[in-house]
This record gives sequence, C-alpha cells and structure tokens, in this order.
Amino acid sequence: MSKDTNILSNVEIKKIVLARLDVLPSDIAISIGSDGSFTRDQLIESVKKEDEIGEKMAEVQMEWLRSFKKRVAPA
Amino acid sequence: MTLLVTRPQHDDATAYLSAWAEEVISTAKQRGIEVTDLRDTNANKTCLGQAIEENAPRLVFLNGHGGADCVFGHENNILIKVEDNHDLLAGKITYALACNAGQELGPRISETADSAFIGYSDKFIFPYSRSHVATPQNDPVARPFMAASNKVMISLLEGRRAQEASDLSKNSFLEEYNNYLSSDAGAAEAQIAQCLWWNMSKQVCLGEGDARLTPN
Repeated sequence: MSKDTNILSNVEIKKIVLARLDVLPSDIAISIGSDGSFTRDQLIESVKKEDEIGEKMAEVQMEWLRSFKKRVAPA
Repeated sequence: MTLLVTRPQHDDATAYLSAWAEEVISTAKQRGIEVTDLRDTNANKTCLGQAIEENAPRLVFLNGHGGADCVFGHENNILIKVEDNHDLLAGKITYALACNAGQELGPRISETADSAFIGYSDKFIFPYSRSHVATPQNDPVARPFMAASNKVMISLLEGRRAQEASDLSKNSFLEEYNNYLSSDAGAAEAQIAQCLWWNMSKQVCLGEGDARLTPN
C-alpha cells in the first residue's frame, strides 16, 4: 500500500484527477502492473470509489504536480 | 557472451513487453551476442536456473509482472525471489522491466560483487491503444514507454556501464515526456506524459554502476 494512501479523500484533488482522466480517449487502456489494465471508464470508477487503483492514479498525478512545481519554482 | 531474456506472455501487459523485447534480442544478435530466450511457458523458475547454469549470461533481461521481492514468469508464477533463488543473479547485470522489484529484490542482488540491478521501485505504468493489442510493436501510444525502457538494454549491449545505461533510459523518458508536452499537446497527452514522468522517476540503478558487458 502506498504511503500516499487516501490522497483521494481530498475533494479538490479528486476533482482534478477525475478531470484529467475524463479527457483520455476511450481506446486507451492503462497497464498498472499485475493489478491489470484499465480503461478510462474503469479508472474513473476506481477514483470515485477511492480504491487502490484510483489512489495509484492520484499518486502519479500528485507526484507529477509536485515535480512540476519544483521545476518552475525560482531558485 | 550471452544475454538471457525472460518474457512471459499471458495478458496485455506481458504481451506488450514480450513484443518490444524483440528489439533488444535483434540488437544483441546483430552484435554477435548469443541470446537465450525463455518465452511464454518457458519463462519459469526451472528453465531460468538451467539457462543460467548452462550459459552463464552476463546480461539478464527480465520482463513481466513483479513484486517488491520477486519477478514473475509465465502465468505469474514466481521466477526469481529473495531468499529462494535471487543468488542466481549474482555477478550479473540485470534489468527487470517489472513493477516494484527495485524495492527488495534489486538491493539483495546488488549486494553481491560485480552485480548491477536496474529496475523500478514502484509500478511500471504504461498506456496502450486497445486497437493495437494484436500488434503491440505498431502501437504509437505505447511506443515512447517501450522505447525509453529498451534504451537500458540497448545501451548495455553497446557496452555502456550500468549507471550510464539507466541515465540514458531516463533521458529518453524525459525526451518523450517533453514531446508530449509540446505546444500542440492536448489534455490527453498531458495525462500520458505524467506516466512517462512517473516511470522515469521510479527507475533505479543499484549495485555496481560501472558494471558493463565488455571487460574494461
């Protein structure tokens, strides 16, 4: 289980993650290791349910946002 | 000089990894390196042990699902696991294209002399086009992920050191990431770019970073 478990308990973060996933083409699936491959709609459902897959997608997005913030922040 | 490749093929993810491993195998053969290819049902613990004993490969390329202390083979049966048979990889340069094995398996392998382990400390996440499942090598969605990953093995086959091979792979992930975030990129591309960034940040190179295929 990730150390960032319960990221999705933050309502604003959950909205951002859902908005990002919503723009994925329906033809695309995302492989998340042995957890399986998931379509856009399945990922959205996982985020809504706040299950392990939903949390992982939130973790990916939050890590990227944190790195982005570091890269654009003035030295 | 021998390269050992394991590549199960029992679901979409492993089918993609297996198909893209062909590029690595072709590169090795072009460079005159013998390849032991444990594919499909042959990606199992028994065959792995025999292949290592008989061929003493310097390079090992593991494809498949993984856990913190293991990498799986055909039908997700254990292929290599800490405290079971991880010492088979002592003295070798191993690249595990598998989730999480950089957490425990990698550090244990890299404790032994002249061993290097490149892998991922978390999930390896990649998108693919469902209309390309029958032809993974032609999938433009998965290509940047697979190409950046293959950079590890191709760099090692070119004689690069382990740390250098990992750095070059990370640079490839970064280049692909920047391409996705170019001026004409849309919101869907940004979502995919996040996964490239994730894999880049989770790739680890452990142990002897100067280990290489050819002698110094």
